[in-house]
Amino acid sequence: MIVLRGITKRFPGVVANDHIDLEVRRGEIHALVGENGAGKSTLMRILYGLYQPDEGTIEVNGRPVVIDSPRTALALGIGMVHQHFMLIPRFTVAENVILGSEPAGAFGRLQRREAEERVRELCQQYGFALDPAAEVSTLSVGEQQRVEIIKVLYRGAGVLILDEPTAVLVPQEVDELFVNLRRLREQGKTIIFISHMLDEVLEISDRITVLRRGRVVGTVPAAGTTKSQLAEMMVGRPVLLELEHPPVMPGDVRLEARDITVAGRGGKPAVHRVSLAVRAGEIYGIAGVEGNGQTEFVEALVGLRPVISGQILIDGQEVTHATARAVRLLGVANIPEDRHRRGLVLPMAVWENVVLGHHARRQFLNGAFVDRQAVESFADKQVEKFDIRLSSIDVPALALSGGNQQKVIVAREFSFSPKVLIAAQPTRGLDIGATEFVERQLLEARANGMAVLLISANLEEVLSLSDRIGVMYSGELVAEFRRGEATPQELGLYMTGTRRQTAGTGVSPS
Amino acid sequence: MSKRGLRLVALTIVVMIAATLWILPGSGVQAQAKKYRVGLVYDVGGRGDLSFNDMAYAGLARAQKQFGARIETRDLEPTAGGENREELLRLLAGEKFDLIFGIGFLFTDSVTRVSKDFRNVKFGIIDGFIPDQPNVASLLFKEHEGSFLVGAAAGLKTKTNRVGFVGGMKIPLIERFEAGFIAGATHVNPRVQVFSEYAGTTGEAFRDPVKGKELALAEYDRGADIIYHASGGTGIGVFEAAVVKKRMAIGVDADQSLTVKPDQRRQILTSMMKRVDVAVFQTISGMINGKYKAGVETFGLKENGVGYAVNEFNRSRIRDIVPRLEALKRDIIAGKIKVPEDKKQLAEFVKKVKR
Amino acid sequence: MKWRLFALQFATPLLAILFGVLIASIIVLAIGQNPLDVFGVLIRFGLLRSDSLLSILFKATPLIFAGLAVALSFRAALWNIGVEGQFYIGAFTAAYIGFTLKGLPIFIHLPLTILAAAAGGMAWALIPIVLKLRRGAHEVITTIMMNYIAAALILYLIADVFRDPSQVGTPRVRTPEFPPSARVPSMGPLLELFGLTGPDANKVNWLLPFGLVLCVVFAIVLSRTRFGYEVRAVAFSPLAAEAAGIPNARIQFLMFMLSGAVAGLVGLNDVLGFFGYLDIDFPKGLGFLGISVALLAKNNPLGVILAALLFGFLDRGAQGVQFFARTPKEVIVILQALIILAIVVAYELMTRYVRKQRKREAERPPPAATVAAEAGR
Repeated sequence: MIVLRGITKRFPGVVANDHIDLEVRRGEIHALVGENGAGKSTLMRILYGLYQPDEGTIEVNGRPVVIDSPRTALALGIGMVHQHFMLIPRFTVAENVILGSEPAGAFGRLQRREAEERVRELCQQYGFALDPAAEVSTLSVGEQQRVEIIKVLYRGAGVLILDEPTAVLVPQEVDELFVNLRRLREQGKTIIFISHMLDEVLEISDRITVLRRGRVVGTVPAAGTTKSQLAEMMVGRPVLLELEHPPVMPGDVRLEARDITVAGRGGKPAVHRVSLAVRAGEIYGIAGVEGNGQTEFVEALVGLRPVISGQILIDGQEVTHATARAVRLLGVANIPEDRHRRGLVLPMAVWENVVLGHHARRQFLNGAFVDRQAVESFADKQVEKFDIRLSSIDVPALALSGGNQQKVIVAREFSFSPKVLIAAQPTRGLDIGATEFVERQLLEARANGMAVLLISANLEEVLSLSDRIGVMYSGELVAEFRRGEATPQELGLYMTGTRRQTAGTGVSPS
Repeated sequence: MSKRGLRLVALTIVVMIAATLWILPGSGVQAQAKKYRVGLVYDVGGRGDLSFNDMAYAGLARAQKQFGARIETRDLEPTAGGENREELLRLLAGEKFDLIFGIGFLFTDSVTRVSKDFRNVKFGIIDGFIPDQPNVASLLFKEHEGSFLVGAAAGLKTKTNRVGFVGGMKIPLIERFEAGFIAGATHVNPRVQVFSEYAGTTGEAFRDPVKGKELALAEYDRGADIIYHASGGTGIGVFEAAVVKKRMAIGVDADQSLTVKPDQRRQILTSMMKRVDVAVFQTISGMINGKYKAGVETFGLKENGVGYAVNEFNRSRIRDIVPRLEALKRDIIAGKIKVPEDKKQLAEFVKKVKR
Repeated sequence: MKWRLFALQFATPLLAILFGVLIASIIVLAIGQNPLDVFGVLIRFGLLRSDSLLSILFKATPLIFAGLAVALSFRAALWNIGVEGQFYIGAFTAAYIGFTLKGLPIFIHLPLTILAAAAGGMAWALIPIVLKLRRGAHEVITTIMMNYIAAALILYLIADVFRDPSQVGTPRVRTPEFPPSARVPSMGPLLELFGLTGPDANKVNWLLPFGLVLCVVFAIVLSRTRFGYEVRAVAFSPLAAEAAGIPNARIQFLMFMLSGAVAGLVGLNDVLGFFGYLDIDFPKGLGFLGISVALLAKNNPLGVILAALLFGFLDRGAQGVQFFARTPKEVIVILQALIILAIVVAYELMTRYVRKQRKREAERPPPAATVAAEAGR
């Protein structure tokens, strides 16, 4: 019912979409996959009327159309659910749904009751569990997403574009979303599903179109296609999806948190009485929905945030109130969550960034002066070793792509034989190739006897890399598992606070 | 893209070289047949202050008109802070000017230095006291005498028996205005009360109309119905206050009735004229006639160097007191009245009057 | 590609100046004068006369200190708008040491006097930076306020406390004169070797080479040393610097103190190098001019030297234009401002262009991207 032909969209210096042909059938769930920058979002914005293509045509129901605005798209029955919700927290579900297309009464008054009734009908029709009278601020993320979907349905859309809808959800919510999407399909709706999570794509969709560097690599039916086939189509070369996780005998405890409490915003503790211990040769993964105290926990560990109570020990030495510099000197490396703000000084050259925090080492200094030759030869070596792609180490870090920036950080943090590595969201925003690289480095560090604390919002990543897994919810460590003990669904229950281990941190490393 | 950039660069350099070549061969302003060259550097505020500097210009313009082709004149303004006063003097001296004026006492040190470096150039300084330099004429005024007359005018004309004074920078020079004014007012009206305020202690005090208005309003509010200002550009604020309060004001240096806005003109009783133009003109003509004299020269009532203004706008208003003022003027010239110059002399003068 | 960019960078200031001249020409035409005459006078008078060159050097000297002071704070992502006030205080503390100490040899007295100036500037900078680091009070506000206080304070000190008693009763409101041991010697004798004599040569004093050396030293410190590295990190990304264990607050404090110390030296050119006393009417506004100098110099200490010389040239040239081309002073002030503004704008545009070109080159395109790259042309 929707046919895109030869769609081309150029931005200064880059071709985002290069003669893309795409055919979406009525009543199917059609997935659009590809790495960051493959052109998925651009294509969908063109379909939703946010961008105009430079070349190419669009047909809807066999008729050529020009979609010059979202209004036109909606009139054609095409609606979009954005990755970032556009809801007003203080309004009710119904009020949010009718926002922008309010049914006005005789005196221009909002007919709230009528609106609520209409929203309730829609929910019943598609089996959505939602109370139209509830205030949006009280809803969970999954429920808010449902509001967004109802909003699109309310405007009469027959085609729903969902942009990375699972990125913000925990496993249970993903399951519920899929149930809802299938129900919509049964009622004849068409769904375009954008994602780069291959498991999900294979589970939910009927057909899959893979984009790479602005071009269509191919469209395949979900049935009979494997994950590694998809990955290869995306990256353009074979990819090892399952990294080997050889058994390593854990050594001494390197990093230990004893019952620490860390202040958050407004005086409320962001981290409450968390205890854990990471041994040499072990990856300890912390799973959890973002914003549950992980950021503050890491900052406390590396000396960037004051600890209210409890103790932090590195190699048995207390560093509870040590400065960031002292902690670093004890051999704690940190891949920060926010690489743009914490990890790199973006306007500074790559050669300068690659020693940031280690610039005061004797090997890089010549009296009070920076020994530029020494730093540059070091930088050259790292660029080589970590395959950082750049034209010169003199370019500022901001000129690099996200993956290369992360490699600069990884190169730096791995280079000074740390004993402890704290990696927060190390693969966020990276494409499959770079992700694989970083994960491999983590496993190598483990094999070399480093104690690794991995904090990731990506459950798959935590599960595949970690020897032990702790779940953080609302500033507390609510559960701890050994590798293979817990399923994603189980972890999801702890992540949302539905369940917690009352026994506390009863699991000790083997 | 970058090729275009390169071409742009080349073009720029060519244009710059061409422009430089065009400019270089010309020559500066060339002196023609021997003329007397007269230069003048204004005080801060420059032309258009409707007072001190404009008076100096008037003197220069009159000389230019009178001597025509025999002289060449040039007037320069210093920067806002006055930092380059000395450089401008030096520039004029270096260009072989014969006579150079510095307008205002702030030139004292600069004229002293420059006159030492250019012995064959003659200098004139208004209000500055450089008595021992063989090529500097210090042109001083007996401001107290003129102020005495306008003080008398105020003392005669006040209905509230309260008058005011607004000074610029609090220095002995301006205190002379104040002393003369108070003496004159008290002399003709022993019951009169005089309010006195100064705008500040730096040169800025002569350029602060906002402050002038504020001070004047305060004095009017305390009952004064005539205010005399000796504060350069600050006085504009005094006139504005007079318009607001519908009271009278007395101008200074120039005949300010002629230079202010029409609505302010109606509020001006008279002005204490300090004939900077006379001093400038006389010095120029003295030089041309070979009678230039270094040292201190004082311009008082006798020399017509100070006085009060009568013009078409205030004539009817002060007609009744002109005979009295003229009588006082004669007494001062004759030495029958000795006008006080400072606080101490004023105190004695007032004591005598009140007795 | 590389050498082209290099050439472009080199030509950028020239282009910028040309652009400024073009804009200013429009104004000159508008008042009915010939731009070629006006700029001809500007160049002939400003650059081709020895007394002008000397005057430019004298005028540039305090601007070098002022521009450097502002640039130092800007380099640490701090806005020291208080150079004006710091220089008042520095001028006063220098004057105080200058006229109170007597009988000391010059090699003790003069360094003490200069140190006093630096200490005065630092003292005045101390309050805003402590308020900033301890209480988060924005330094723009506090330094501006400190300027007012400084202005009022030194007027009071000069006029009412330390006024030269021998000058009471004259219009001269100033401190007592300093003995020669507290004066910066003139470069006149040295300049004489080059055939430059006269009062203009005598005005140029040894603070000029001192300022130049200071600029070079800071240029090296900021670009080559560990301290300079940390300053850059703190200025560009305080969060990343913090994570790297660099003490943000200490670096900012040090840089602001250095800025204040240099600011304290701004007034010395006039006070120690020329007048020999601190008059109530001493040259003001140099601290604010320093902001323009630093902006024009892009906070580069070596650029500060060039920018200060440019300001000195424009100032001196303006006198010539007023004198020889008879252009009204107000128009000259507009011209000065326009030229500076145009240079800043043009410079910014050129730099951005160069940066974009560089960025394009930054990442080696991966082999498969050639298609996109080709299509991008």
